[in-house]
Amino acid sequence: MNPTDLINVENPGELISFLMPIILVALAIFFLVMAIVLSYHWRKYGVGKVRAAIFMWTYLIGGIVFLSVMVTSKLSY
Amino acid sequence: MVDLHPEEKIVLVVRRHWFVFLGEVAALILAALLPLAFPIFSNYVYDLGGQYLSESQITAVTTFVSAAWLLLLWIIFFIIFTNYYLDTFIITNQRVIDVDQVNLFARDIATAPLGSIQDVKIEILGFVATMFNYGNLHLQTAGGDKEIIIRGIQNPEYVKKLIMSTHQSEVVPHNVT
Repeated sequence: MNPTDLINVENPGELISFLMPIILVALAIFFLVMAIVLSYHWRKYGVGKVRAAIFMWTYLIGGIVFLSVMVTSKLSY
Repeated sequence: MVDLHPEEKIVLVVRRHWFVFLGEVAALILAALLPLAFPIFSNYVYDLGGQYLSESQITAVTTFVSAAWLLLLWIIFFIIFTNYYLDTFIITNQRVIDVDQVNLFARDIATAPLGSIQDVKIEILGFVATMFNYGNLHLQTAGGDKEIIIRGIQNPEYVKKLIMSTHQSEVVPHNVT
């Protein structure tokens, strides 16, 4: 099967359905990688434990909220 | 933060003014408002996609795109905040340390012993800087034309006074004896 057969460009609905999980996974990976990079910086360059924890949880909670909205809208599509 | 010498004590840690940080994230705030414009264009979107997608599908797609957009801005905001937070100017009883967090993977640290500082100059440029009391600090050090510039620092006049007074109390007595 030709990979292009998977996407029917004449029907944008299928194209969107194909792209949504890719965008979701890509952003989730980027979000997690940045969580590791940022927490590494906060700990390495002397941000106190409590402040680093506050930054980390704020970052995680905000990101998880946006990711959940993305997952919900993907499921309802 | 930085490794201190034995008997070295931190006198002051100062960051760029919050208004400078706000200026950096202003574009992000505007960009975060962009999804609010979706309802304005909703008729156009329904006309365009109506023949392929149902109304609920269009709503799901716009919600998905808005959340993806906001997540991206959220990550960028934390990168900018980290650069702002780790970009510090430290005055100790022995030296000044300028930590310039250029980006997440570039860090520039300049130090100058208090004894080598020959001139301290401050600049408060413009109406906003005067109102919010922030500006640039120039430290001229001995040995060539080395100059440390700290931009957008909060309360530069106080920082200048503190450098001068620390210099007087920590360095001058040692030179006299």
